[in-house]
Amino acid sequence: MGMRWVLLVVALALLATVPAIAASPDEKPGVGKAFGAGKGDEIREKMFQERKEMMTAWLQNCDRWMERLRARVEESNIGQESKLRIQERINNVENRINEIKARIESAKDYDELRNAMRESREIWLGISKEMRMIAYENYVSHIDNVLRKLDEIADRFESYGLDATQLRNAINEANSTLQSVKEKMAGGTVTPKDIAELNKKVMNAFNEAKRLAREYKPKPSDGILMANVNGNFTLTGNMTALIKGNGTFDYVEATAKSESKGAAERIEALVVRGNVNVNGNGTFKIVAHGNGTLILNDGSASYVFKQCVNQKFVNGTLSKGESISFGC
Amino acid sequence: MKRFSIFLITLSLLFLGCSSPEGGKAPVTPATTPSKPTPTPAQTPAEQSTGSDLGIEDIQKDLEELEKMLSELEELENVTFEV
Repeated sequence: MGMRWVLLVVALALLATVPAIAASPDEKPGVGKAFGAGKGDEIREKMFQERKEMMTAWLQNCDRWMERLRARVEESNIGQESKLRIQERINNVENRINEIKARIESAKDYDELRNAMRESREIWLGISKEMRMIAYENYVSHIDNVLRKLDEIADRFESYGLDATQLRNAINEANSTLQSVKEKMAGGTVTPKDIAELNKKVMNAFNEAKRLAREYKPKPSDGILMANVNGNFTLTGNMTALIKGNGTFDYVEATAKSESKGAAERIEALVVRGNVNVNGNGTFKIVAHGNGTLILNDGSASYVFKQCVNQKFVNGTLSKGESISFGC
Repeated sequence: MKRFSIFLITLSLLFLGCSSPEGGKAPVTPATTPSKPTPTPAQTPAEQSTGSDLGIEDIQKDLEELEKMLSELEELENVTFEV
């Protein structure tokens, strides 16, 4: 009898333990396969959200960058035709970016986003180079303008009496690199390294201009005249003046220490100082600091001048027989 | 009467102790050195820089903006389309 009870207990114990041993470790009661699939979906959903947000932010940055590029092109000094041509290229790039945007935005889940990204990559490969080329074209047109301004500043320094040789050399180097970059751009071979090199040269010239600007301190009684003359002119007074151009030319300059006279034909640039009396016939750019008068004997002239250093620049033109006086 | 006078002396000592300058220092009279006059336009130095009309700041701004645009373009180009 006792033996029967023992067998019954053993049988019941076996019934209770065998299913538990037979079950795989993953198939836990109450959890099973449904748990693993849920976690995978959760990860994919999280990745989908993250990547979509990242791409949306990137697309917004693209939009903002393109808008700024458009504004920079608009305010540049390039001709209207060139502007329209670049704006058209910007429009094309923007349209392609909008295509990427539409694909990313319409993706509803991970798989759709993955497909959208694959298509977007193809579109991006087609437009990223174009974006870079437009950016370089804009950069080059602005650098052209910057170098022109630096050249004008060098004229100012020289007409004030500062030695602008280093600045001129730096501008020339930058101009030469700019020409090389323009040629490479035309051939479609320009690289980021070329642009970096140009930037370095421009910064050298700019830093030299900044250095000289610290030494540029005209007296409050000085006037400043910058004129473009085409014809016959006389410049008299007490000043330092830079005269650049082509034509016949004679001058007297007298300082406390010396007096000199001279004549030149087809001059490139000349600086006169002290009590000067200059007569020239041809096409000239005149930049003067001090007190004096420019008389136009014949031809035409345009000018920008300040009566006194602390005043604002005023534009004007001269006709035959007219004159402009500067200095306080 | 003697106690009253001791009280009065103690009180006056206390009063003097509280009202005397800190650290027993003599009162400092205000400095009489003349302050520098504020320069008026007529008194500005004879030589004044007019560097601002050279347009250096504008060029700097322009160059900074151009550099910024190129570096931002590089950042945009670093996009990855992997999911």
